[in-house]
Amino acid sequence: MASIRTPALILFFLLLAAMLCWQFWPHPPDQPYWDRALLAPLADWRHPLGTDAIGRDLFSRVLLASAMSALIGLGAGLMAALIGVLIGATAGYVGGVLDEALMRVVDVLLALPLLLIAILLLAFFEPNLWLLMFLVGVFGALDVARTMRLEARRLASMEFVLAAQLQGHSAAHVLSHHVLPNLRPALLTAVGVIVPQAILVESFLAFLGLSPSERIGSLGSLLAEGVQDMAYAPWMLLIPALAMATVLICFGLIGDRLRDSRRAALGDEA
Amino acid sequence: MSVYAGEQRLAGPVSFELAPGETMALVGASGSGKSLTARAVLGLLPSPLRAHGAVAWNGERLNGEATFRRVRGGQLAYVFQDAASNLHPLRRLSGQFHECLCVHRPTLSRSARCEVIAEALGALRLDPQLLKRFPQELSGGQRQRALMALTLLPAPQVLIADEPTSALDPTLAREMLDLLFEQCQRRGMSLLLITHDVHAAARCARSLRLDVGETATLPTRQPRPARTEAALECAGLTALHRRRWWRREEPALMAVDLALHRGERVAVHGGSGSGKSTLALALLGLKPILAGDLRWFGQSIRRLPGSALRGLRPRVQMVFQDPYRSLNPAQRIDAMLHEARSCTRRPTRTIAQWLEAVSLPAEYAQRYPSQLSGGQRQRLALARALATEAEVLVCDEATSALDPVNEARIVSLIDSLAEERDLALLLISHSTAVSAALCDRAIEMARGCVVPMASVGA
Repeated sequence: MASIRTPALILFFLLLAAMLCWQFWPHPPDQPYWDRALLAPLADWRHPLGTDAIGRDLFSRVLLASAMSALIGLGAGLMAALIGVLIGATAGYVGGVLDEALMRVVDVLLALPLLLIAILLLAFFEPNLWLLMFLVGVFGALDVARTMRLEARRLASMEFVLAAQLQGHSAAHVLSHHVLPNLRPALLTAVGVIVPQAILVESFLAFLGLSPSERIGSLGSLLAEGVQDMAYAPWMLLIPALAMATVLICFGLIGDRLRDSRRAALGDEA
Repeated sequence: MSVYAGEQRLAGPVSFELAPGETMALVGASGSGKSLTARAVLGLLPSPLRAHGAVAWNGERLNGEATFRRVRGGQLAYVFQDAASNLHPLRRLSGQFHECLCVHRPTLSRSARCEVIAEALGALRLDPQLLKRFPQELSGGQRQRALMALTLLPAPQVLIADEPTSALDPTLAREMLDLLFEQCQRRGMSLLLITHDVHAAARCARSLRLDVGETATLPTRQPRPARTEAALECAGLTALHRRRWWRREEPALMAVDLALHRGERVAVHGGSGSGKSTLALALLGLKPILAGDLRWFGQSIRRLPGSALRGLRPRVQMVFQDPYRSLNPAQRIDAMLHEARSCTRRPTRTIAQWLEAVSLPAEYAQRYPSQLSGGQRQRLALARALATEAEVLVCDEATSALDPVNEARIVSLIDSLAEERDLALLLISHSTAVSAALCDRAIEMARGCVVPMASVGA
């Protein structure tokens, strides 16, 4: 089984480099140098990845934007996991009327178009990082909740849950000691899908100009600019695209491998 | 006929002789090489395996494929274990029966073949109409009988039957064995019965054990004085599988009266679907009760508030059938036993002592259930149930997923622990041997009702 170390290390160094860059790199991402506009990568030693149309340093922009995208993805994933497990495990384990009620709410929310609502809300309020994370997190949580509910229902029918009930433990104890620990493989799988999805949604919104972070920007806003200047400065599209692919692949691999290792530890087959 | 087969310690060495008309059982736990021995006798070993030694048929030594083929099928026949995979799924039974006769008795005309086939089916009480069907359109019992009829068609002198009943439920298995012995007697055929069931083996004239390691011996029952103090009691208990508000359900239990006294051991028998497991779950207060009363230790629990019921729960515990579903895969064994011990105020044993009591090594405390075998898991489940200082133990087919050696170990464990702790035991089992070894009396269930029976054993 492949290890989790490589993708995790790549992401870790990316975040570390972004922090160092924020502190020590002489060219902040929003500082224009009008005399050095549209430098190609490696053309000038001060700007190893070149500059954009108004002379902002692409190296710091890409690095910080990647870190920003990664953090947005992680935040949304965390939120989706928390809300999703809470709703899904409760509905699946308790069942009955509560299950029906919670799941119908989830169904109604799932019927709403996420992107449209996000665009409306972000246009109505200030484009703001927390609102975006919350929106993507909640919509991710709906999917997670449905998966978690099914898994919790399956677990609730297993005899070890019955055995715990027979020992006279409260529903909260059974849920936290016997159902939740066994939800982990399924949860990691579900969240492993949510994190890259959140990054993509954020990039899409930034591409439309609803970037939540004006100063740093995100990979989406960099890609939007890159598309404009694609004809004569292709590196402005290629470099952010590569960064985006790297971040997405790393998160995807981490999700897969966490799931595999948990499965192996629990002795599940397939 | 004598055989000596020694195949790199996979099976044997074994030697035996089967006289005409004699019945003999080849007994042993799974993996002891019973089937390999039988296949070696027929010269049908799977390719990398080799048999050493000799097989002789009527004094003539069988050596090489050609000599084996002369006797195989026609004179020396073999009934495979799993009828479903040994009948051709794409041909109707009639085709398979006719083919068999064409090979072994090529002189018969078509109408004569039909007569022989009808006779063979009649002998095994099969409807001739079944011939028109495909094997998968038959029930398990019919399929096994059809395979046997097919095997007996060329009138063999020796029949080797490899676990002919293990895929069948107990009632069907008994019928199948009756038929088998009846056929042997009528045809003067020798029978080599391969089985892990000691009771089937006991019906043969003699038996040969192939066990290398432990042997499975069930404990013998000690008579116990009758007790009167009720531990678990129900009167007119009528319960549902599950309550659904949108429609009326048929009750799964109908007016069951049962009293389980302290220290008493009661077995529950009955076919599948007779409501045995529902009874167990209803007695544990896990099924919606429609009518009747259910008392634990003299206290009616039907209208008991949840918290009071939870306080009583640790005193009534259960061991489930499938040890692969009844242990939390994410919980370490010490945590599991600790959780059970935390249910009682006065635990009598530490975690290490519990592991020792069910003969698991102390270092297993650090393990997860996935690192244990089926028998070990079931012993752990027993320890978990008793670590709550339970006074009533319900075992729902607790041994039927295990091989005979492990079954015997669990049964002796239950026996000694129940004796030590004065447990009231409700044992749901389809194995009369197990319940006879453990229980004072038995009840039989059919269609959700209790049918009273005499006390177990002689």
